[in-house]
Amino acid sequence: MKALDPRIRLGLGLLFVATVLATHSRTVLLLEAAGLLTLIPLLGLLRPWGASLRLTLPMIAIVFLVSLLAFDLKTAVDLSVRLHNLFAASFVFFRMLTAEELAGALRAMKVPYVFVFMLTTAMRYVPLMGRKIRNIRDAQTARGIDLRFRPGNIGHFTALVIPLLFQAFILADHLALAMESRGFSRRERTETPSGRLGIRDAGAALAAALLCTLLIWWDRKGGL
Amino acid sequence: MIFLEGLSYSYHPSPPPWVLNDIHLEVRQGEYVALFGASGSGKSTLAYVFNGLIPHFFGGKLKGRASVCGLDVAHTSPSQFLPHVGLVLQNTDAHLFSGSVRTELAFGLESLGLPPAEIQSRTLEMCRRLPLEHLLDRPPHDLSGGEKQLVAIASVLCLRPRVLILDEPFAHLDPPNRTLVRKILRDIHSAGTTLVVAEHLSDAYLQDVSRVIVLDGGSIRFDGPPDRCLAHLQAAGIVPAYPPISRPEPNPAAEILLEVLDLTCQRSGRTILEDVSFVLRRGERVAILGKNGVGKTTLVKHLSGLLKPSRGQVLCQGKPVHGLPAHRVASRIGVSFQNPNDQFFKPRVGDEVLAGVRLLASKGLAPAESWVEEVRRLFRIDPLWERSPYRLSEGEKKRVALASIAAMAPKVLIWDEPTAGQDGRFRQDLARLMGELSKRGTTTLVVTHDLEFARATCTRWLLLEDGRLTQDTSLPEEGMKKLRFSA
Repeated sequence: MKALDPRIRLGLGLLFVATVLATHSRTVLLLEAAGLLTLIPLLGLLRPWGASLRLTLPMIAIVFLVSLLAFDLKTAVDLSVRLHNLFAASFVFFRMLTAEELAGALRAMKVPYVFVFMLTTAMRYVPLMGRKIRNIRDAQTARGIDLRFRPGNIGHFTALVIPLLFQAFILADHLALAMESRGFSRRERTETPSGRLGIRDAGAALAAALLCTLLIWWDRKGGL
Repeated sequence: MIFLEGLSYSYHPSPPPWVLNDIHLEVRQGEYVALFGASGSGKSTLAYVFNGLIPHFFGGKLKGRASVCGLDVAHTSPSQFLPHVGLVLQNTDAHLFSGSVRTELAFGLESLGLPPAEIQSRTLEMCRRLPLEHLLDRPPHDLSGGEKQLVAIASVLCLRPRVLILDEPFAHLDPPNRTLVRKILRDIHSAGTTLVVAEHLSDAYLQDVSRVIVLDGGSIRFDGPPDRCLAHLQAAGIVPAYPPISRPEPNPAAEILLEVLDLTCQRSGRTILEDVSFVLRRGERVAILGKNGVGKTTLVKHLSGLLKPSRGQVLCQGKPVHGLPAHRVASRIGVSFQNPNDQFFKPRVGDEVLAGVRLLASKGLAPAESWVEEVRRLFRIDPLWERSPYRLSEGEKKRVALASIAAMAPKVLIWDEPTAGQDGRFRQDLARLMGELSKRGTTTLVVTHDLEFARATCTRWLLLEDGRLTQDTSLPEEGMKKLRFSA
């Protein structure tokens, strides 16, 4: 997968997410889930996928419970599998494309530089903000403020949110300062030449398009 | 290169207050200038004038004349200054915003619109000058403090500026990284670049500079050779005048407050701490020293129960720390981490200082009112009581953060890098506070790479190297000088 051009990887990611959103029948949803769950270990992503489940599984469980109470078991299963597929497809997409590659792909597709910069910078600062959250949590816990996820601690979370917001504003201010002093607003920016797409890229794009068309066609027929 | 005549500046469109006041300055090509000033003296503001961020980014009111590389600052935007003046900001997390070191180096060159072949050749040339080749494909945010500083300098140096301005490049570096950055700056200077380094740390790099300017309250207090600047640095609150401390003989009978027994921490198959053991007794002042990345902060997190040891344990007055509720640990061991902004969540300083005290009171562990009053007096908090913690100077913020921990009356206080980014006046004040707290029986553990501060304030030193405690010593004055980090 990594050998493919970033533009193709971006296209494949969007295509798979769109296919998940466009399909409804249980057979197709289960087939998509099986495909994604086979792909994840093949791409060597089993460990980070396992870690991401800690966040996504509770959400899937909530959707399952709410739809079970509001509708019936069949609908609850369908909605949960669909949400799972959406998470899995997005996970594979983001793991296979770094912020740098995404920026390169978007620039090669002539997306305006300001938009590309904003999008990729936001992605890059996610780990930094994660580190800030850990630092704030440690500092407040060391003051005796219990910030573990428990119902009784809900009132304590202002001690996490307020310093985080404050630091995010400071960082945004400093980032704007750095961008300005490093020439972000200059007009004559160098256009990075984009590489040519190879036979492998074209083959992957064609195969993915065929697969997704087949899934959508099958879904429209109502599955098995 | 730099010419300022009667320059005054205020961030407000209708001054006062003036942050810079009637500055007259001329810097010639090839000079290496150290620009000193305590917190709030205006040195960062002056650095922003040199590349046009002031007035074009900040607005405000600029009075007088300023020209850099022959360009009038009032009429030249920062982007027009780009090929001539390079500015390395203090906050490297903001300065480095690209996805890899390679694209970071290319960013400024792309802003200049240079052809891709030229960008590649300059990037490779920079890698030959600075040891960066092994970092090229790494994300800047994953680098160590020293590496980040190196990449930030390189990202600006690629543009071949005639003037290079650095805002506090040494503030968060340990001695080996300081030595590295210092050598790089010497090389840049000897290649003919004019250098201006804004700092409040007076360090060995003073030997390298050709001229020292001391800012005080927005005006130039001193402008001359480095060998005549010391008295002015002291008067401006940059070099601390530490009070002499008493060095009592170790008292083996004093109560043991904290015991660390064979503490080992392993993460992702890597050993971060290995068999660390020591005890802290009542009233001791102890420094933990070590390079960046040797496990100092990990040790602090174990001492405060934030991390569970892989092996061994931490006991506070005989009871294991890990597993105790957070408020119980906080009532015994107070930890203040490096960044005071991590703590502030109340609108007033008074509420911030009392936040922990009120929490303990709700759990039936309230400290004595007389102690809280004592902390307010010792930390000189009362003048700040009604102010917003977010609007304080860096030194004041740190003082409030330390006071909010001390007010909870813990028996052991742990300060993680309390002097990082702080000026001499604050460090001097901190030394006084440590002495006062020690007299009242509080044990203070300072994690720092500020050797001068540790030497002036602590009676016992622990040296951490690659996760192991290699020295635990109460040395006489002359012996302390031998204790050095291995670079």
